Amino acid sequence: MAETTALTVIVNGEPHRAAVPLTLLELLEQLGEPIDKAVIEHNGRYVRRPELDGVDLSDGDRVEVILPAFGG
Amino acid sequence: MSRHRILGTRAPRLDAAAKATGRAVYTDDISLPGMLHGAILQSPVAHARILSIDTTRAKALPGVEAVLTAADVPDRLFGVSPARYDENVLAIEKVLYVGDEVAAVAAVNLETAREALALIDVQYEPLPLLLNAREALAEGAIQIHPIYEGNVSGRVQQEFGDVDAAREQATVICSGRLDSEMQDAAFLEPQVAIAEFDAQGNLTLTSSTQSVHYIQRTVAMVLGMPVGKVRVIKPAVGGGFGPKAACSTMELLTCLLARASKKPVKIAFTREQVFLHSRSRHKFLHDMTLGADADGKLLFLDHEALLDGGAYASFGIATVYYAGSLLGGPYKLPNMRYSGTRSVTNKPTCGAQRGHGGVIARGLFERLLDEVAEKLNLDPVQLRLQNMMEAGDVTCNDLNMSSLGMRECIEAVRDGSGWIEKKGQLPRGHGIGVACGFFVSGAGYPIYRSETFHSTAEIKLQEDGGTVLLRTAAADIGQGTDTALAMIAAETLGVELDHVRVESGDTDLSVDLGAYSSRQTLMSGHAVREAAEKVRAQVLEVVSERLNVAADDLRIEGGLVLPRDGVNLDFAALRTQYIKEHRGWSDNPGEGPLTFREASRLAFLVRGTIVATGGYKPPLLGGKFKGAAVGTSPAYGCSAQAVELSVDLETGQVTVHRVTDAHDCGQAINLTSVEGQMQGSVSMGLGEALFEQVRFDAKGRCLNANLADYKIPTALDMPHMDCIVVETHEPNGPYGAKEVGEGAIMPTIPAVLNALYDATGIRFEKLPLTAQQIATALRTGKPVPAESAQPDNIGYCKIDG
Amino acid sequence: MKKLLQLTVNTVPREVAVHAHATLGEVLREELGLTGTKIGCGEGDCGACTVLLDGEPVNSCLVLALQASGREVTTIEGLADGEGLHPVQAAFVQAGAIQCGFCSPGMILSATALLRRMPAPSELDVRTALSGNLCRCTGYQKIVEATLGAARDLATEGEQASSRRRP
Repeated sequence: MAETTALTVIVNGEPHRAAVPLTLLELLEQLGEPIDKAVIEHNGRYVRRPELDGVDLSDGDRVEVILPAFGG
Repeated sequence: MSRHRILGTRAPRLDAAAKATGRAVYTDDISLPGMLHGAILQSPVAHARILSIDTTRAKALPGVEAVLTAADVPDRLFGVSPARYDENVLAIEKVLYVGDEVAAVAAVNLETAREALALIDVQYEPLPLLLNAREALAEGAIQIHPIYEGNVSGRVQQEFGDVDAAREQATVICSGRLDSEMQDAAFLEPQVAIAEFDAQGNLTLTSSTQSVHYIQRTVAMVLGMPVGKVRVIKPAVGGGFGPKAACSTMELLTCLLARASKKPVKIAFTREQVFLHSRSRHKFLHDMTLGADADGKLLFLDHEALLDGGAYASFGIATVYYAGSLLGGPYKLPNMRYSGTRSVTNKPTCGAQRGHGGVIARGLFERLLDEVAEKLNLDPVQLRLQNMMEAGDVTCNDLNMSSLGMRECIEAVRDGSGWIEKKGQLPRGHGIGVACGFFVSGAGYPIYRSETFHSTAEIKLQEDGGTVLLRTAAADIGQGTDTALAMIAAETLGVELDHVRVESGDTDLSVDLGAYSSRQTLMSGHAVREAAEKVRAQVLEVVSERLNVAADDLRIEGGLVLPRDGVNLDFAALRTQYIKEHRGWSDNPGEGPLTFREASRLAFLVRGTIVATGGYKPPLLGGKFKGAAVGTSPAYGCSAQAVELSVDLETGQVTVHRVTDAHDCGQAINLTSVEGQMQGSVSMGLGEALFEQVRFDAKGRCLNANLADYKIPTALDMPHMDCIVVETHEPNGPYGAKEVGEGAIMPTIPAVLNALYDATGIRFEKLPLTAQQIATALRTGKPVPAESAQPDNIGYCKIDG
Repeated sequence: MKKLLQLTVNTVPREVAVHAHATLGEVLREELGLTGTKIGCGEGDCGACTVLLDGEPVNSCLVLALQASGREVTTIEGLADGEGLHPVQAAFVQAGAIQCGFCSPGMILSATALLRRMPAPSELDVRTALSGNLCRCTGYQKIVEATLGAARDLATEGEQASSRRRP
């Protein structure tokens, strides 16, 4: 019987279960996040748009999606 | 000739007479029965571990009714953006700047409260200080805040198009730097708040705030209360300019002290505390490279910024974002690369101040435009005109200029200032400079991730008819929103302005994100318009049914209900009924047309209370209002200015002779208020250009936390300002209106820089442009060099292809 | 121990017990309920607390209340005569010289004091007289226009009054 490995990623402060392997880009696309408009942070570090698919997620990772156009 | 009856006029503000006579009530004017006075113990050191706090003696002082330290208050983190909740109400393990809050006291009077503070013993263990961004970001620097590794509290890197490829095509490349110091918003009314719990545990917080909504949510979250049990009210507010847009520890402490003492508590900031709280303009370092082709067509911008944000995040992630994104317009710029970093340091926290992250960045960009023009032997105005975007264009970073009167603004300023005769023709020491700028009309997103309406409004007709009650949580902080929204309501309904009464700035009335991002005219205005249209429709439906006339054949104008030409309106019976109901009144309608008063009275008699709501959500969030589903904001206001000045070649003292200012606000709701915002923006811009800086000593203590040593322009410093209002009719704004409150500050600093170059031949690169700095530069022939935004050793990498 | 202070405020004799260190501004606001006088800095730098002491504009945050003993204080509440606005107040309202309004009471009193001693000031005279009253909202232009406008209005009123007096 095949076992799917899952991990928990904290996205915007909320736990989210997902199947591995998973890149940061895939996670954001799954969640329908507005990637082009957002500042994406992985474990407190800013991640540039072109690098999102190069980040493999691990259990317990923290992801913040910040829409920075919130206050002029 | 205005196509509107009320919009575009110079109606005196609804609250002006109250303010002129001392009747307007500001928060500190309020006293509640049994009210206690609170005071806050703040750290005297800029970075230290708290070893112990002993409040025994303070608690024992007669007249003291509550003493709070971190142990007594929730440790729930708060802040501005939920992704950056990094503040505790009171410091738990460490203090991070001089002014960080450590304890609070409520007592029967202020004197006793302050005496109690002196009786609180705090033992600190000093830690190394990091007083500038470079030190804070250096390898091995102590971590100031538990959340921010490497003392980086925000980073944004974006590339649009291909800057490196564009660089190959460029004939002219100009690079330069501009740095500024921390500045202060210096509103005249210091922050003050009063909190009171009623017997059912409902909390009312009265505060000098720009946003009752965000304060309500933060108070509810930190105190662990349902939002519905928290009411936040703002009375008259003496200016905000940004720092009052987010909840402060002080506001939370009034609530916590009220809860602990079971009495109302007031805390008022001293002017020094205003400086220590700050949340004002960041210190910015900008490095930019601008490239153009041989004809002067702009090809690329490569931009790096370093922001010194003080101890906490506040609005910082938005600040560092806007510092880059707001250069995407108003010129056609196909390739733009931006890297911005915001560091934390052991100084007061910086936040959003008029123009947010865009002001200093615009300063450098517009100076470099002049440098490009010079290299190509082009007139700086001409260079700007030939690169100008048109309405409907979209920037490389997706900002949709649905209306853009930039061309009209710059031509008006060129013609109105005597630019052509003066540029390069004035004697040495005398110069003229121009610059442009633009700003959002409301942020596309609320601060917290949500699909909330950004504004709702309610209009109720008083049952006796004739008075229109407008209820909105929107905040008039001096910019004139109450009047503007009343004017929109009156225009839409067809009544005179004095038929409208406004209740505002109260979370019980509606949801409104508040006065920031220059959003209220557009967003709250849309909500008000919608509510007014619905009320109007209800009244006309009733009249139409009763008088057997099609509703489309009726209009309301000047407080009268008038039929289309050729339609007979027989309302005699209606009038008779109204007069019978008002026997004894001396102002009953006589012979004239049907009045709105009579019509709305009838509507009540038939349907009961006539009330309607309106709401606004930006198009991006699926709102029904027009606008491309892209971009940061539904609309952008824009501005051009020319500054004429002279410099004393010995002392470096600058005298500004004249400012010519043109701003596109879409449609002026109140013409006098629009001019007032333009003039006020210029005065803040001139102050920031020439005098304003918050200074610190080597121990992180603020040296000029007062209005004598932190100099803002006085009536003698301000020149005459020629203000030209341009109206381009913004399709996404109510009646075509969009912002003026912040776009109007954008051109001032660069216009001064460019004028100084015309006067002295020197390209200055440090703000403020003090006499001392200018004199030094005049002696050496070179500008005092700016610090570079490119920090060493933080692992920053230039984005390579 | 408090001392008894007797002074005239807005033409009315008042009596109040004050501490030796209490400022006039504090006493006006807290003891006499005249909150129209605003405290912007408490240090004499901003002018928001301006009142007229024997007709002269002073920063009430720098005057000890007891220094006003036996003297006449005019606050913003005492400027208008009866129901209407004083011409300077009316001019400020009409000209759009009031935004947040926090500087306005002090500014209006300084402007009024100027016009009383100099009925036909130049723009420079106005700016100089108001240079101790800070404003962050308006950039001062409409304040100056209002003051010059009020000067003209007062002159016209004066002419009309004196022409009515002629036989």
